[in-house]
Amino acid sequence: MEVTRRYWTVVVVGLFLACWGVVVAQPLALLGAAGVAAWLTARQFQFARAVGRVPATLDVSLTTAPRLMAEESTQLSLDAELDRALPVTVAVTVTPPPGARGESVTVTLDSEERADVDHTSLTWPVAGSFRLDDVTAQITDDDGLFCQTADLDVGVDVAVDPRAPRDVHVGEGGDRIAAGFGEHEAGRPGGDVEPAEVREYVPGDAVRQIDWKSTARLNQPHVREFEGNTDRETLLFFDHRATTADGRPGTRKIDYARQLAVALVDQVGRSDDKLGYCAVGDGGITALIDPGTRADTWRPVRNHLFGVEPTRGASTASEPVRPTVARAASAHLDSDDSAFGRTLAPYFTERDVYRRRFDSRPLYRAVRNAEFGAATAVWTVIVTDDADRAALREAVTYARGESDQVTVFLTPTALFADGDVDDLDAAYDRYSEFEAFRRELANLEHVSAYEVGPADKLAAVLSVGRDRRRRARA
Amino acid sequence: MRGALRTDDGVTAALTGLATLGAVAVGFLVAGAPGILAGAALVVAWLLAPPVVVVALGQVLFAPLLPADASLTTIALVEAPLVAMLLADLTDWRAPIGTLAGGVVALAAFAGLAVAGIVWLDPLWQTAALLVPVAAVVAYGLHRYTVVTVEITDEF
Repeated sequence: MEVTRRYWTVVVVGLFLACWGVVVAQPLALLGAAGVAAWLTARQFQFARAVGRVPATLDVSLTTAPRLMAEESTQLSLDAELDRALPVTVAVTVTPPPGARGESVTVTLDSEERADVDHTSLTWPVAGSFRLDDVTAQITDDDGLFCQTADLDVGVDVAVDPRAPRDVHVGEGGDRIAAGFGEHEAGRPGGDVEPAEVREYVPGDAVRQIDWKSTARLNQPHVREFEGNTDRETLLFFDHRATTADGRPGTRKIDYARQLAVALVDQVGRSDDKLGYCAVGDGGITALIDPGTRADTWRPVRNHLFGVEPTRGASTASEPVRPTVARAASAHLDSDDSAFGRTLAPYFTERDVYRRRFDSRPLYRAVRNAEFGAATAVWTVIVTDDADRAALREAVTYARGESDQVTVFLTPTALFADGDVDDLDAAYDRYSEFEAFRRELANLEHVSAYEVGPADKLAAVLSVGRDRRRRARA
Repeated sequence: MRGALRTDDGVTAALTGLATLGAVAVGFLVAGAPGILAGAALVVAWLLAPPVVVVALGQVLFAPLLPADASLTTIALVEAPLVAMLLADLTDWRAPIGTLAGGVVALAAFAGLAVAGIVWLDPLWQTAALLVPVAAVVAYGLHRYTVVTVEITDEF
């Protein structure tokens, strides 16, 4: 309970009467002081009783849109109602959370009022999950002597989705993929781990399916079938280095990558697979969430994806020489006795230099240092761009050695360069290079590689290729 | 907490006004013409200031008019309209019984304490020294009661 200046004024009046009564030896003034003290006490008692009734009497409800897009505005309605009139003024205030822009809204119920409603407009600039629960009731008496503030247990959840591009293309070589990526059937008999049944061998069954113990016991070849289960672990590496800022606001590489990653996380959440998350910026790992169940990781991963922005850092790196090229060059230089050959030879002979160079690349370093866990099946997903192809190639190579399946989603730089239609020829050439790189990755065993980008821009770029082929035929 | 001219509570303003007129009459009975002047000053105060200030002013105005050896009966007579003014102000007419009872109890307790002090303790300062800490302890107790009621743990 807080007291106001007016309260202290009355206290001073009472003290003055007491002192004055003592000074002039007049008992009447002391009785006056007692009267003032009694009046203050009675007022305080009335206020305390009224405050005690507020929690059970006051009904507060908040109404707002539960889901909206970032930068959208929504109306927040605050409805306060008292079951019965109280001899106090109750002011209910809702303060927006840090993730929202807007004024606080206050509904004031004076001692004659039972219900009121007020509205405010809130803008949500940041994507994420928020809770509007900073709701307080300030109770004051009619004489303005006392004040009491109490937090109310009222709140409403608001989910703010990022502004996302609407024309997301996920595919290979311009062809959109039809099926959901990464899905797996839990009830399908196949090559998973839970034993389902032992049956007699029939032609066409794989030799590795033969259950030799059953075969020996039953004197006939038998195979054991296994039932799919959900013991799969998905490791998501999300690249948000400076190069992912390419593109126009709202349609940057990271915007497309984010939308894909959120969809992926939602899909993993629905299948109850374990999900681990690693965000990589120019300085290295910026967020790391160890693999866990949906309850543990789904919301944190989603929230981080909604809020993540490209980091600022050196985005250009020299392209290291690949090992196969280095070996070929080394063999060639062995027979070269010229000064040029002798000078270059040491640079191609030290094989470890190659790996050490990549250790300075954030994405490669993140993949290499990741703990791939001991799940039955590990699915590694890398969402990145094609700016540092050599490092990505090595990261994928390393990841496929540690996991059962690797899927790479790439935002082609060719589709995000600013420019007009005249630049489409150049964009097509760059896209062709990208496509060759994507195929190179996709041709690796247990690796899938997809492009992610704006469908309309991709269609425009591919139309250049069709025109070229048509002109060539003509 | 306003004077009669600015308050919205007409019932309280009327009752405190009647009590003020009673103070004028008592002033005449106790002190003659000066008592009427003191009462008239209270009427002006009633129009402009809240009742608790009128009551305090009444003590200041009537104290010099009473003889030093005034009996408790005389003091009670002077105090009666002022007490009535306080009780009228403390009464909430939406729930009159509870609020009036609370006011009567508080006034009886503090007035009883003051009278006991005046009667049993010889120097008046001892009575004042008794009243002030008792009022402070009661106020703190009510503060704690409020804090516990609304389950606030960070206030002391």
